[in-house]
Amino acid sequence: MTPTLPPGFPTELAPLATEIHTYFRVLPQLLAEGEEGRFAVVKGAEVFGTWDTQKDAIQYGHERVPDGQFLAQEIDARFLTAFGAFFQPPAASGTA
Amino acid sequence: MPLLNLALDVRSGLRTRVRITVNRATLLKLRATRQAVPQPVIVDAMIDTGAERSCIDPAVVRRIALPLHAFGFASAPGTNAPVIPALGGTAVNAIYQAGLALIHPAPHSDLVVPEIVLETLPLAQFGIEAVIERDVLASCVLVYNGPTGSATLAY
Repeated sequence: MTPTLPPGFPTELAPLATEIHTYFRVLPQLLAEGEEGRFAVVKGAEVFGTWDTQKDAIQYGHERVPDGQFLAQEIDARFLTAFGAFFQPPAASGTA
Repeated sequence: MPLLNLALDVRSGLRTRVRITVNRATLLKLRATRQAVPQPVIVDAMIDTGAERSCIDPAVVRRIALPLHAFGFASAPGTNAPVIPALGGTAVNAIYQAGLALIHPAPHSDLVVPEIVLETLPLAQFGIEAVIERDVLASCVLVYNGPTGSATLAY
C-alpha cells in the first residue's frame, strides 16, 4: 500500500511517497550529522548517500537506480519543522 | 554573442517564448532504449529576477512527462498554491528535471540550457506557463530600458 503524504504536498509527488517517508525518517539523523544543505538520494527505504549539489545527486541517482525513479532531495530542517509530526512515529509510552 | 530583443510593459512585464524539453540525460536514455522522445512544448514565459529557480506550470509537465526527483518550497503570493501555515505561508511544490531554450528569431541562436531543475507553480492564471529566473539569467546580460519599453538579453 502506497504511504500517504501530508496535506499541502502536491499530488504529483505521490509516486515518490515511499521515498519521501524514508527521507523524513532519516532527516533528523542527517541534520545531526551536519548534512543540511546537501542532497540525499533516496530509493524505496534506502538512502544512497548525500551530494553537494542537486545535479550531482540526480546524476548519481540515474547511475544507481535502473528505473530512474528516485528522490534527490535537499536536506532542510524547515521540512522537519513543518511536517515532522506527520512523518515521525509517536513516542512509545512505557509502563512500569 | 546573440542578442534577444524583447518588448516590455509595466503591466505584463518582460515576456518571451521558451521551448521546454526533456533534459539531455533523459533524452540520451530514451534514445539508447529506443523509446519515444516527448515532443518539446513551446510556452509563453516571463523573465524575472526575483527568484533563484525557474518554474513552469503543472500543465506543461503533464504534456511532456518530465522526470520528478524532489520537492521544495515556493513563495508565490497571488497564485492558488496551497500554503502551509507552519512554513510561514509558503507552499510545497514538485521539482522536475528538464531542458529549456529561450527562442531567438535567428537560426541557431537560441539560449539552450540542456539540464535544468524546474519548480512547478500555477502560472496559467497570469497568461504565462513559465518564469525564467536567476538560474538561467546567471549566464546572461540583461538590459532593461523602461523609457523605451524594451529590453535586451545577451548570452
